[in-house]
Amino acid sequence: MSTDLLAVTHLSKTFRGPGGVAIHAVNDVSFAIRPGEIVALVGESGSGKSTIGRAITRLIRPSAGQVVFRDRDIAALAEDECRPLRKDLQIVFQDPWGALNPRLRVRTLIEEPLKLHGTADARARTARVEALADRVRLSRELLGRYPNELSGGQLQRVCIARAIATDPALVVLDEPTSSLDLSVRAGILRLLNTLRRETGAAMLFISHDLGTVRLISDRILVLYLGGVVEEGATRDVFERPQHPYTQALLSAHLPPDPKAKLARHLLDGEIPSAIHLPPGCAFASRCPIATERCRHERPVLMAAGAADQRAACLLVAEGKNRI
Amino acid sequence: MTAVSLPDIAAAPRFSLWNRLKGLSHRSATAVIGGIIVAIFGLLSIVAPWIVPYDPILPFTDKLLAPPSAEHWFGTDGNGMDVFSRVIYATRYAFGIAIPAVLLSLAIGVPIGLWTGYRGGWADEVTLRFSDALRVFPLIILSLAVVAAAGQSLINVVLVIGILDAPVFVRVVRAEVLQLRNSTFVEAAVATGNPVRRILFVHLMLNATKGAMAQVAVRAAWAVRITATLAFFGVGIEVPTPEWGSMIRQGAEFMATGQWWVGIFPGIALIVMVLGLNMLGDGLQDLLDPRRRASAR
Repeated sequence: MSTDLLAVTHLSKTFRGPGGVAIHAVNDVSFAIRPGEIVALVGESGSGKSTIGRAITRLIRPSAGQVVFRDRDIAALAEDECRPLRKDLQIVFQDPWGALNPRLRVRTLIEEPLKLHGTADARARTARVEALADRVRLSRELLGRYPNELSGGQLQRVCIARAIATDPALVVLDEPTSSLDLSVRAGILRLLNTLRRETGAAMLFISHDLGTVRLISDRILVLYLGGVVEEGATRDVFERPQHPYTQALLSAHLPPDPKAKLARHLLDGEIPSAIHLPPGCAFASRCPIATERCRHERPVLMAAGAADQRAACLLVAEGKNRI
Repeated sequence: MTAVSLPDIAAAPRFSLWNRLKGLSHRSATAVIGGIIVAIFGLLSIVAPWIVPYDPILPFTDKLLAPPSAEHWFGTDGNGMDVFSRVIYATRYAFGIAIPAVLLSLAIGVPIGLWTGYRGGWADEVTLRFSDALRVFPLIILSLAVVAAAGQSLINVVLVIGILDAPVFVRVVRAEVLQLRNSTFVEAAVATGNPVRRILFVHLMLNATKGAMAQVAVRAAWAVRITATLAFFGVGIEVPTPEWGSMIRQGAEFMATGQWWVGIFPGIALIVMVLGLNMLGDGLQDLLDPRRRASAR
């Protein structure tokens, strides 16, 4: 029995695009989540963040690799066999307006996971729904309403209540705050922090917003073109980013202190196409310090910087990875 | 502080059935007119036994083919039966066949549409081809043949109409499910651990049956029409039964000899009924189609 709650090894996902072309959304990704831990998955759009989140919750079937949840490889399971596991493995989506059945009342929506996995006793369920509403700070008056009568922040609280209803061991949060107003966002983040203390659930927090990630996560995985380029404790990665991409990413992020000295590294160009993957390092085409070797040799994650911090950059070995 | 005079709440328009109807007719006058026509026929079918002057299958052997008079408002037919009583009584057969037939179509079409739309792949392919194949035959000919082969009975007419018309509902439901299949709430339903059965009959059915509901009245109109057609060709409903189609058939024979009342009155009743159902159906489609509704507001 390992100590990891979730262990992802060599996960890949290839989609069939128009005309049968292969789109390599996720390429050979490995990472682990320990019980109660909040791991952030950051990257720009198209980097494969959401695909990883959906593969872990088995909403899509991985093309290759393993997703071991509680010592069981769920990548290979049929949907019927997955269903009991969903009690312990939940997901909150980015768009709270679309993630709730518009024809069901909020009460029914929160009750649904309980009905499917838990209590048969209707009275116990009602009490639990009310307790959940309190827990996500959702007014009980809203339980009788339909989703279109609620605000975005309220809807996301409903989604979170649904996700934590069955006391899951792992909740995947797929950009849960990025479609919300800034003021609402803070409330949701506070709620997630509280819930983590109260429930002890591990979370995979998918985001492109570094400020949010810094507030909430213990560890961070930086994704570029479907591959992990850097991982480490959040503090280490923010203080001493090792991969050139992470360095550029963090320099683009505005610090809260207006007087702070800005050292910006602007990146040219776009994320390369996921149809024709570059032969070497995925970042080589935009990397300011890339060498000829970078364009041909694919780097793997190796120890860099602090303990438990790793980066997939060939220049780390030579100590020339600073931009 | 001076008192602020508040608007008189009692003077505000009351939320009444009448006001709702007025609001609805503003949005779709067609639906309201059609609905009123259908409601009148529905009422007639319920109260028929108490309002008709004569037993609809009682022959007045001394008054064959009597023209309209104060005694027999719509005259009598070739058997001496009162045409007015028969026209009114026939509403019972129209509804009695159309309602169970459409319910049967829904019961067959909606689950198949949900399932094939959600699953896609070979199941979808097979169902589509099958319903296309069914559509190749003119439905009237097909139902004539099937009822003639299956045996003349009311039940058979209902079964044939209900089964042959099910593909319409398969198609509209499937089309809506195809649009919803990849929406986040369906994905969320899977993630929550819903079995396929519950995704189909709770999550999708609540959101994908608008088109089917809008079709109900139109298909009922079709059922009424086809029942009459079958009876006109002498298939399905036996002669003394008061039914518009068979009455029109008999009336057609007497048209040439000048006894117009035998066929005209049931004909008018049939036209008005089908028109009312179609208007209701069209109006419902206007009201239920979100795009049309958005532009109407």
